[in-house]
Amino acid sequence: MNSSPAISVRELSKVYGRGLFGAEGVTAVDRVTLEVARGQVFGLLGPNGAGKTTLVKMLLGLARSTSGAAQLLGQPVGDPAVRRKVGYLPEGHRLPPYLTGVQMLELFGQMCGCEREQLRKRVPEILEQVGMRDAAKRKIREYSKGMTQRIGLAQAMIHEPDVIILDEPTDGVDPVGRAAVRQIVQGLKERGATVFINSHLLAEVELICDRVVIMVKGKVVREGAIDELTPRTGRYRFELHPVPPNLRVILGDLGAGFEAHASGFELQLSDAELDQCIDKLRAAGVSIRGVLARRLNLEQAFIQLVKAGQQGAAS
Amino acid sequence: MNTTIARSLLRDAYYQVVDNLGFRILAVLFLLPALFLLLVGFREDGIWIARYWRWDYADWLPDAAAAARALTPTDIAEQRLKLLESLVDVVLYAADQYGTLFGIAAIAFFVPQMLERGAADVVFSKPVSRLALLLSRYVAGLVFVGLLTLVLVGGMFVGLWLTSDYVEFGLLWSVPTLVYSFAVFHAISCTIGVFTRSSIAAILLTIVFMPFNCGMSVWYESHAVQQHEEAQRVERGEAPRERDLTGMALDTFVDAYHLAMPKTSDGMLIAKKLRKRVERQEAEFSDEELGLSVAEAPSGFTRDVRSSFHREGVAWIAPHPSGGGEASWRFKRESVERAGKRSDVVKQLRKDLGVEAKLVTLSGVSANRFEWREKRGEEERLRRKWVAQLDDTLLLIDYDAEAKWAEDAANEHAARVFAAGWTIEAPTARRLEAQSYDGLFGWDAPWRFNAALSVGTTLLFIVAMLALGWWRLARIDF
Repeated sequence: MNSSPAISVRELSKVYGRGLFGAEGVTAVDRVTLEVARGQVFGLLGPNGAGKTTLVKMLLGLARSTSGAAQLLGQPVGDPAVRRKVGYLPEGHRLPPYLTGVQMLELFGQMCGCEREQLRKRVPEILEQVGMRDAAKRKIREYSKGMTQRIGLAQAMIHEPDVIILDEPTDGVDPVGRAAVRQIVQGLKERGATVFINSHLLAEVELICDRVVIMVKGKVVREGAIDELTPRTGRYRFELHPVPPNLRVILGDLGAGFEAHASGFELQLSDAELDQCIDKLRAAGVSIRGVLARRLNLEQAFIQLVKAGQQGAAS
Repeated sequence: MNTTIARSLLRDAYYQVVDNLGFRILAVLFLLPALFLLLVGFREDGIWIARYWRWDYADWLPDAAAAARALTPTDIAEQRLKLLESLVDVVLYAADQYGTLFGIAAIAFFVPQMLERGAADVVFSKPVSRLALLLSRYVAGLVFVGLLTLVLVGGMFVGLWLTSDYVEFGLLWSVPTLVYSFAVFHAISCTIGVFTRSSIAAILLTIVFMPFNCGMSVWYESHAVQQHEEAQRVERGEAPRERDLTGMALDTFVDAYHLAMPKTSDGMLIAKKLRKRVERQEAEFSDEELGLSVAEAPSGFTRDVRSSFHREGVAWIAPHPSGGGEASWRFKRESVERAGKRSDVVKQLRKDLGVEAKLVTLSGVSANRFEWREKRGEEERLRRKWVAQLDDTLLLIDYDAEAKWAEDAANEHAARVFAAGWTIEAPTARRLEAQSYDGLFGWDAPWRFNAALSVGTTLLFIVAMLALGWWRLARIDF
C-alpha cells in the first residue's frame, strides 16, 4: 500500500487579482500547510471567507495556486488521472437538470472511467445507499433540495474513490438524512477511504471527524484531533445514588461554582480536590455512579479560536 | 480521453439536446415541410392532395398564353421541376437563415450553464480535460442541428419521393452543408460563452455577427467579380483601372477579411453545386458545354454506344416487337456556321417536309417542333423533330418510329416521360451565371472563387475560435 498521505499541502497560497491588471491582490489562502493521512475523516472548519472552498478548489484543480504545492495520493493535483480517484460534492452544486438520477450517475461514473457493465451493478447500490432508489428515474430538475444533496453525494461516490471531499454534505438535509450521511461517512471510513469534510455544522464534524483544521482569513490557526481542540474545563459532573439532602455540608468549601441537578452535581475542581471530593462522598456513604470531566465542545473551541485568530490578524 | 469518456460525453450531449424545449419546437417546425410534401404530391399528371384530389398544372400556370397553348411534356416537367426546386430552395434557405438563428438562441446557454457556479465545480472536478468538456458542448450543438436537419431534409426527401415520385439524392447534400454553416456560428457562440459566461451575450453577439458577416460576403462577391473582370480586361490588353490608395486599402481589407473570416454563404452555394453534380452524375446523358441533360433512357430503348453527340448524334434504339424497322431517338449538335441559323433550318425543313412547325419550349428554351408521317417500304413511320438554337450551336432532336407502334398508349406515354427528363439551360442564363460569383465559384476555380479554399479557411476559423475558447477556459478559476 502506498505510504504517501492522502492529501498533502505545502505553503499553498492563492491571491486573486483585483482592479486593473489584477494589481490589487486579495489573499484567499495564505501559505497553508496540512497533511491528511489515508483512511482519516478530516474536517476543515472556518468562518465565511476563511478560504476553505478556495483550498478545496485548488486541491481539485478548479483553481490554480499562486504559490506552494499540493498533492493528492502522492500525485500533483493538476493531474487528471489522480482526479479519477477523488470524489467531490461541492457546496450549492448544480447537477445537469436534463438528466435523470440514473443517467447522471452513469454519466459521471463513465467520466471517472467506470465501464457501463460495472455501473449497471454500482448505480442501484449507491442509489439504495443514499435512499434515492424510488426517485432514480425522475429528472434532477424535479428533485427537492434534500434529494439533490443525496444524489450529489451519490455522484461523488459512484466510482468508489480513495479520497472524498464533501463541502457542506448535510446542507438542506433533514435530521434523518443527516444521520444517513454520518452512516455513509462511517462506511467510507471502514472501506479505507479518506474523507475530507468542509462544514459549518460543528456538531456533525465533532461526531464524524478524527482530525480537524481551523482556518481564519486564509491561514491555519489550529490543527489537531478533536480531543486536542476541546480541552478540559476543570469542571466535573458527578452522578450519585441516592443524592443526599446535605450535599453542600458533606463537600464543605471544596471547589467552586457548585451546581446541583436531579441526579448529582457539577463542580470546578483541581486534580487534588477531585480526590478529596470522592473521598468525602464515599465517607458519607454516597454511591458514585459516574464522574465526567467537562470539556469545551467544538463549537465553543471554534469560536474562541476564530476570535483569537481574527484579533491576531487585525493586530 | 478514452472511448468510455468520449461516449459518455456524446450521450450527455444527446440528452441535453433532446430535453431542450427549443429543439422540440424546431423539430415540429422542421417536420411541417416534410408533412406538407407527404400530403401534397407534385406528380407528372398534376398536383395530388392526399393521393385523392387532383389538379392539372395548366390550372395553376400564371401565364394565360402558356395555359392556352398545348403543353408539351417538357413544359410540364419544367414547371413541375421548377416548382419543386423552388419549394426545396425556399425551405432550405429559411432553414439556413432562421434555423441557424433559432438554433443559436436555443443552445447558446450550453457553455455558460456549464460554467455557472455549482455546475462547473461538479463537471470540472471530474478527470476530463477542459478542452474535452468544451468540445462536448460544441458537439452537443452540432448534434442539435444535425438531428433537426435530418428531420427537415430527410423528411422532405422521403415526402418528395413517396408522394411526388421525385427522387433527388443531391438534396441530401444539404444536411452536411447546413450543419457546416451552423458549426461556424456555434463556434463563435461557444467562445463568447466562455469569455462572458452569459447566454444573453453569446446570443446577442453571435446574432450581430451573422448579418455583418453576410454583408461582408455580399461585398466580397461583388469585389471578387470586379477583380476577375479587371484581370480579363488586362488579359485582353486593355489598360488596368486606376485605383487610389483608399480603394487599394479597401480591396486588401475585403480580401483579408474573406480569407480570415468564415464564408457561410458559400455553404449554400456548395450545396447547390453538389446537388447539380449529383443530378448530372445520375443523368443518362449530359453535355456540359451545351448545358444539356437527359435524365434517363427512353423506356425499352438502349443507347447506341457507337453513336456520338458531336458527329451523327447520340442515339437510343429499340427494336419493334412486330419485327419492323427499329425505333430511335437521336440528339445531335450542329454549328450554326455549318448548318445555318435556326430560322433558316426551320424554313428549309418546312419546305422539304411540307408541314408547319409548332413553337414550343424545351426546358425554357424556345424550339420548333415538326411532326409528320412518311412511308418507308411497307411501313408508315411517325417522325418528330425539334430544332433549338443555343448561341452558335443548333440542337436537333429526332424521333423515328413505326406509326402504329408509336401511337400505342404505352409507347406514347414512354415518349412523354422521356421528353420530360430533358433539361436545357438557356444560353443567356448560362452566360450570366458564368460571369457571376456563383458561376465562377468551384473546386478548381482561382483562389477568389475557390470552394476548397473557402471550406478550408472556414474550418480553420472554427478551430481558431474553439482554440481561443479553450485558452480562456483553461485560465478560469472556478
